[in-house]
Amino acid sequence: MKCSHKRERCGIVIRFHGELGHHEAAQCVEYLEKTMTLYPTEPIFLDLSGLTFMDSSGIAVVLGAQRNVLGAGQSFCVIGTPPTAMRIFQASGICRRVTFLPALPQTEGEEDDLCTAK
Amino acid sequence: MHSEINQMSIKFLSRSSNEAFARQAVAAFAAQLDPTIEEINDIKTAVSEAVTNCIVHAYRETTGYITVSAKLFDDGEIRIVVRDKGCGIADIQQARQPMFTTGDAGRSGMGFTIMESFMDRLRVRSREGIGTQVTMTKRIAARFGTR
Repeated sequence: MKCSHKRERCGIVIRFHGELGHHEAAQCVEYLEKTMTLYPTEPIFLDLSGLTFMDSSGIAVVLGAQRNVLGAGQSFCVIGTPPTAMRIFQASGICRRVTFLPALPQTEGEEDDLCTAK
Repeated sequence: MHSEINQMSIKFLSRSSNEAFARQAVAAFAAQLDPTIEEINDIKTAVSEAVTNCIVHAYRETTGYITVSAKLFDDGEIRIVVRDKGCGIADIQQARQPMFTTGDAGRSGMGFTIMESFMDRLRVRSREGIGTQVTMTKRIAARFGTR
């Protein structure tokens, strides 16, 4: 499991790469908490597109992260969830409590950049 | 017709670092039935949940052995049995309820629900102080040119 983060225009994007089971969950929680401490006033986007496996341990990781971010008064969103992981979230019912998006929302500036690139 | 065509068994310590080994070993064995990627992922997820239960709940304060065995049948069924000799489950019906957990905040209480959702059948047998046995079966659909 590899964790990384990057500042985007819309907020901080935290990315998980690899397998997320019970063994890796503690590492993910620690990384999330550390990153949230570094950027307490930024919206957090959790990017799961790099996951090759996830079991129900991911549910607690996401719920814990959301609880901390919302508690700090910021917004929290999960992006790029692979289909297998999404089935686990759907089975658990947390899709009603957590915002899932296919990708990062585009800001006006990014749209301008895309136009410039053309 | 329901004849056994192959079987395997592995035994390992209840360390979380063995979870990936267990699910990948069963997935590699199940590959003989020519499953789809989605079916393989279902099996890996269910095995991971069952093995995690052994580590987190059965051997909560200690370390013990977990046995995972699997059998393949000629009609495409795989039967997976995950056994421990841990503390056992006092109330199986309650343990199978979604969101019920005796673990810490890091657990979601969705393990049995996920096993039920991702496999065709789930049976749980347990005795307090003796251990728990989880049996899961899944039928791998035959595709063109196979079986």
